[in-house]
Amino acid sequence: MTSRSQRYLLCAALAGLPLAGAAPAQAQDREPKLWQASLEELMQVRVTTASRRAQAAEDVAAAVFVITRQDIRRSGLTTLPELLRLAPGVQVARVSASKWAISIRGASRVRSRSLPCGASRTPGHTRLHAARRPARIQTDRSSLGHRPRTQPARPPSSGILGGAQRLCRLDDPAKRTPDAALELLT
Amino acid sequence: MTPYRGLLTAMALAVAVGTTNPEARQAATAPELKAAFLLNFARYTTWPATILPRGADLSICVSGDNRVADTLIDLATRQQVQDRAVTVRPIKNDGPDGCHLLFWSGSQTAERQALLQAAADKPVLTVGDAADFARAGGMINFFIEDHRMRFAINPGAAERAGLRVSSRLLKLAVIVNEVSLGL
Repeated sequence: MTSRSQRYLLCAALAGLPLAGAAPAQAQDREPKLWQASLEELMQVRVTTASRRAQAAEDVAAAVFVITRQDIRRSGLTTLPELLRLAPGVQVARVSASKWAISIRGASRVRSRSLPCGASRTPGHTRLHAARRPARIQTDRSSLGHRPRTQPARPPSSGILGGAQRLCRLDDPAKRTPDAALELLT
Repeated sequence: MTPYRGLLTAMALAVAVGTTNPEARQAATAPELKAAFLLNFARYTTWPATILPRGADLSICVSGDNRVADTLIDLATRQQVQDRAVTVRPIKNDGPDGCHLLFWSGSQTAERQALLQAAADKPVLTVGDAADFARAGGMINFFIEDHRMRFAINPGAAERAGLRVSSRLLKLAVIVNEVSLGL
């Protein structure tokens, strides 16, 4: 009987040893171990941005500035380019009676390519998308009754958004939003 | 028999726990990955014994990207390469003298070509992160494909410099050759 219980004890000890040894080892495994990775493992690792995690371009951190409906009403402004002046960092210049030059961070030109923006078609829709060509905003087409919510974005200084985005067309004739509001990612 | 069954169970459990593979790291920044790859390149390259005698330190020179140098210094404290200590030296327009492995970040074509010419027949493993580095006379360059770090090797350049690159490295690399591209 004694010998049998001793054997049980031995079994229990043998079972316990590797478990006890494995626990701290597994905790360590969760930590980055780039220096231990083989070439094959390194080739499977996903390359991330400086924020140290893979993320979509529209989720990259950018300052946000919202021009509310009340702001628009109080300002008395009637055109979108003029309203964009309310946001810090946005440069708006009137080129002619019908043309505006708008950009974020830097000097603006009529065909400025430094302002990526997306006009959301539904409230709450915040996805950034690049317009195909630079916009020339026409004053007669940019009265507020015709504007959807508009979200220009100033890329972070590291330029993660890259140069692919273009100044987008701010008009969306198909959509009329009586309660226009501007949401600026600057 | 019962105790033996218990013993077997215990052993099976031990094997199962002991062989659990550590989870491979899923994501890293490009400089971290480049540094880790550079150590592996050094691991699978053989330098002439006159250049790198047994027991001598392996010298890695880094030009242009301090983040790669910093990560390398950090990694080098944790591990050796071919049983050698690794020394990391950031360089700026210095020649390749004293370097066994030279990492060149960025394109800067004129300076880069000057450096590649200076390193041409010396046993220095030249690695760059511009896509045309290996084709332009360098030996290895990084490129990113499908969000993963890949590398291309120009075996001819390594051979001319008297370096032997392991087949394990060549197997995982994209092979490029200046001659076949008419350069």
